[in-house]
Amino acid sequence: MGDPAAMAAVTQPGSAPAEGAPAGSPRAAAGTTAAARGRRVTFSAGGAGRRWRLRVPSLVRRAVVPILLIALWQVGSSASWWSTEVLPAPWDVAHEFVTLCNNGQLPSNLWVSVRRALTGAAIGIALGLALGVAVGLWRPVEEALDATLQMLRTIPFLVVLPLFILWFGVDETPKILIITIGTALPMYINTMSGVRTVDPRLLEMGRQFGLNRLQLIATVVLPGAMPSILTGVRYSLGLSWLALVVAEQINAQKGLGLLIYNAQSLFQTKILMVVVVVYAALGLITDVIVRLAEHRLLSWRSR
Amino acid sequence: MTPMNAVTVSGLRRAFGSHVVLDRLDLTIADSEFVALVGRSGGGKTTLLRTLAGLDPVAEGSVEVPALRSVVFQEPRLLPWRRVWQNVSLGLPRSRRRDEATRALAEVGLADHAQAWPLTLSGGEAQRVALARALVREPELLLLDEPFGALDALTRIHMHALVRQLHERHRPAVLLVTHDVDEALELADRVIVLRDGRLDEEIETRELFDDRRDPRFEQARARLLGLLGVTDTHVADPTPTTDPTPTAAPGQPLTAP
Repeated sequence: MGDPAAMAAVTQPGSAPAEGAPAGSPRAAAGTTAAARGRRVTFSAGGAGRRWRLRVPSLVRRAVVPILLIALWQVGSSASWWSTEVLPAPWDVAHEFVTLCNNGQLPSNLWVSVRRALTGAAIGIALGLALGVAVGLWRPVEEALDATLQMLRTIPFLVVLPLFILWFGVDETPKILIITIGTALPMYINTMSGVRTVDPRLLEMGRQFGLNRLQLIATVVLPGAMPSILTGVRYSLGLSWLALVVAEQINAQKGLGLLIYNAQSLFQTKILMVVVVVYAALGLITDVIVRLAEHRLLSWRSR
Repeated sequence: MTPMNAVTVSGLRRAFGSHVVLDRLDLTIADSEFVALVGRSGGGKTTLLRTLAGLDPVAEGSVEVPALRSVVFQEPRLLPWRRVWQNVSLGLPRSRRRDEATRALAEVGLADHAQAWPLTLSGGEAQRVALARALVREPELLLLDEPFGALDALTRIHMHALVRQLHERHRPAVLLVTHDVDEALELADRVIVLRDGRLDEEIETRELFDDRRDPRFEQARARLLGLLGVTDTHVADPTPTTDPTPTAAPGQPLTAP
C-alpha cells in the first residue's frame, strides 16, 4: 500500500464519479478516493424512483411509445400531411379490418396461411431439433453432416424458391418446403450449440446412475440445451412468417398472399395495411407464446 | 461364513502416455468395509475410483466390483432442472420413485427440501442430496470421490458424522478418496496410501480409537503425513523452510499437497 505508484492508480479515477453521482447516495461508486474517506452512505428501503415504478405497471410503460406513434399517424392522416391513398389513417385501417372479418375474407385466408406456416415450421423445427441433437452428441454424425448444413446455412434460403417452383410445381409443396427449410436451419444451429454446452459431468453422472441413451437425452441433454433450443424456436417461428410471405407469392389461390395480390392490383392500400398489421400481430403472438414456454420450461433458473 | 470381498483388484495398470498412474495395483475391500484412500494429488486416486465405478476402462489387470455401485462426485452433479426429489430418484423404477426419494432425503435431513430446485441449495445441502441419491439404490459399493473437498470446515464436520451414521445403517463397502488425512482417520476402518501407482501402506484404524487424544491417533496421523511427504507435524518449525508443504498443529485439519 505504501507503493506510490499504486496510490496514484487508486486516486486518479476517483475524481470522475464525484461529478456524476450525488454525494452520499447509494449509487455513488464505492471509491477509495481521499475525498470519500470518512464519509458515510446510507442504504435504505424504498427510494422515490422505486415507488414510481411500482405504481405504473410495466405493460403501460411499454405501451407508451407505440400508442404515441399511432396517435401521430392518425394526426398526420387527419391533417392530410400525406395522401390517404398512399397511407390510410389508422381508423380507416381498423374499419377495413372489421369489414374483412365480417365478410369472411380475412378469417378464411388467415387460417389457410397460419396452417401453412405452422405445418412448415413444425416439420422444420422437428427436423432441426433432431439434427441438432444428433450432430451435437455424436461425432460421426457431426463429421458426416455439419459441413453440409453449415454450407446450406450460408445460402439465403429464399433464393431457392424459383427452383422449388420448377421442381415441385406451384401447389402447396414448394410453399411448405420453403418454410421448412427456413425454420430447420436456425433450429439446427441453436440446438447443436445448446447440446454442446451440456455439462459432460452431468452426462457421466446420468450414465453412472443407470440412464440409457434415450433417458439421457430426455433428462440431461434436452433440458440442458433448452435455453438454446427455445432461442432457436423463436428465430424459426419468426422466419416462418417471412418465408410465408415469400412463398405465398407463388400462385396464391388462398391465404394472406391472395389478399395482398388482389389489394395490390386494385391499389387498395387499406387492405395492404390490414395484412401488415395482421403479420405484426402474428409475430407478436408467437413471441409471447415462446416467452411463456420459456417461463415455464426454464423456471428452475429463477430461484 | 468367511467374509466376501466387495472389491477385488489385481494387477491393475493405467498409464497416460509415459506417465504410469496405477502400476500393477492390488486391492481388496471386504463387504461393509470402509476404506479411505489417500495420496498426493495427481497420484491416481481418482483414476482408481473411476475404474471401480466403471467410468474408466481397464486396460491391464482385472477389477471385480458389485453391480450395485453408486458414486458421490467431488461436485454434487445435480440436474438443476429437476427438483431435489427427482434428482434423488433418478434412474429408479417409476413406481418406487417418490417414496424412496422422500425416505432417502429424510435420512440426510433434507425432507423439507424435496420440492426445491437444486440451485437454491447451499453447497453442503447439495452434497447431501448427492449422498441421498447414491444411497437410495442401496449400493453394495459406495464410491466417494473427495465429496467434502469443496465444503467449509464446519459443514464438513457435519458431513463426516452423517456419513458415519449412514454407513452404520446401510453397511455398504466404501472407498473414500480424500487428501485429508484427518478425514481418512476419522471415517475409515482402514486407510491406504497410494504412492507411485502402488498401495504403499495400510493402517488399520477400526479398533484404534474414537478419541483424538489417544496417542495412537497421533502416531497414525504422523505416519500418514510422513508418507505423503509432510514431516514434523508436532512442532511448528519457526524457521521458514523452502518446502512449501503445509504443516499444522495437531488436531487441526491438515491436507496433503
